[in-house]
Amino acid sequence: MSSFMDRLMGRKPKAAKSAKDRLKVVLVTDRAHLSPEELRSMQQEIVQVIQKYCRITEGEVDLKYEQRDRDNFLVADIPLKPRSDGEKPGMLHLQTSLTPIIEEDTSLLRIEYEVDEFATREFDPSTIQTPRPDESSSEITQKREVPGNEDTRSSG
Amino acid sequence: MDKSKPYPGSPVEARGQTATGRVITVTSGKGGVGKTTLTANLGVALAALGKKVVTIDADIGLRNLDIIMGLENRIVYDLIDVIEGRCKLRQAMVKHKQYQSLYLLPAAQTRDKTALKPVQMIRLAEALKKEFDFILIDSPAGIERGFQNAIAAADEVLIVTNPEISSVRDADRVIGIIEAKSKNIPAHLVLNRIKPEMIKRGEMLSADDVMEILAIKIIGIIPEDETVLIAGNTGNPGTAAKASIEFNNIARRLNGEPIPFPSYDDHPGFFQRLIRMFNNNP
Repeated sequence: MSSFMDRLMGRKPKAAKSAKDRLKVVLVTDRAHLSPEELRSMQQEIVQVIQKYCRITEGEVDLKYEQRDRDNFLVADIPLKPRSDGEKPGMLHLQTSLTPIIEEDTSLLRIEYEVDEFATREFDPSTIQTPRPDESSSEITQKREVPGNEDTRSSG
Repeated sequence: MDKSKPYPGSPVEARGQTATGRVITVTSGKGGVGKTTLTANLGVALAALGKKVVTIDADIGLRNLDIIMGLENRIVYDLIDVIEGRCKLRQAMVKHKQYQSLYLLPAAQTRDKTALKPVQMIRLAEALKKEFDFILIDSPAGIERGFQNAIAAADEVLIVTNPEISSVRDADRVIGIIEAKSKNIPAHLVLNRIKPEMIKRGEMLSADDVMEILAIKIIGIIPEDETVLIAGNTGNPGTAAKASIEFNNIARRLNGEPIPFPSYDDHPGFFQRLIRMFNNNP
């Protein structure tokens, strides 16, 4: 709502703001390789786990995604109710960075490349008067094993 | 791969020479945001600064850099002819009409992206680095093979985006893929076709908004300019009215000059806002 005060204070009305807000949300799911549905059910499950151990009110759970530079963080502030009356309530603060389980497929970016039936002939560097690089050099062959391996997720 | 050194066994390393040229890939994810226009204009602007420049059209099958640069009638051989050994690299390079230090290496029009492999682009770039100060690669849209080819040899990347949600989203995806490949490739943002009046009205994402979302450094903010179309129509890059000033600024920033950004964003004072309101033009 772009009110008189908004305009007076120089606040942005609709379109640009809404583009920015929508982008921020969609980029969380893009970057973490999570569907919005998965994101929602993850939130629910997190709340359920906490509920196993603590009394919390779901409406008071503040679970949000924050972007810090090019990384996404899942940040939760959860007010805890005392188990019995009279005890002092606490606050649970959770924070984790979201790294996709499925790594970006960069196999095409590595130097080795699948044999291509359409490429009729190897590029001959002699046409540019330079010696041909040695393709079987160790660095290139070492990288060959990795793709599709289960444990590429590691630390990120 | 450490981009500061030639890769093992490269022609450069074999000769013990130091290649000084910088390979800069212009990419975007989304199509139609201005990659080819930027490549052509940067080529001209860098050549005007006295640099030796070659622009490479990596959009095999959909070549356009030639026509934007006004060189479409001078093509004899193309990139794929070089790769497949039908001609020498020199023979395929088309010299610009006006700028003697600017060349174009055109794409093949009758082939597709599979005619080229990333490793071939790397070798080609290594060879060109010894002769040119700047090797500008115009990437095709998308994140598939053509993009992978265009990015393979990059020392640096320019990400072009428009202040519009789908191109910003695609830019984010491309930045993510490049980061996954290597954290050592500097990526800079070029925000193209901004309309300052719309930004002032809060209807368009500002440079600050886009920078906040994408979290990469910006190197150029180019205003919407109808004369860019005219310059393209006539094949005369570098002749647009407003935009060319900013293309030149990007070239100079790439060259290490600290050129300040013009302020297109809306941070008017209280009274300016008040005046604007009473003019019924918020």
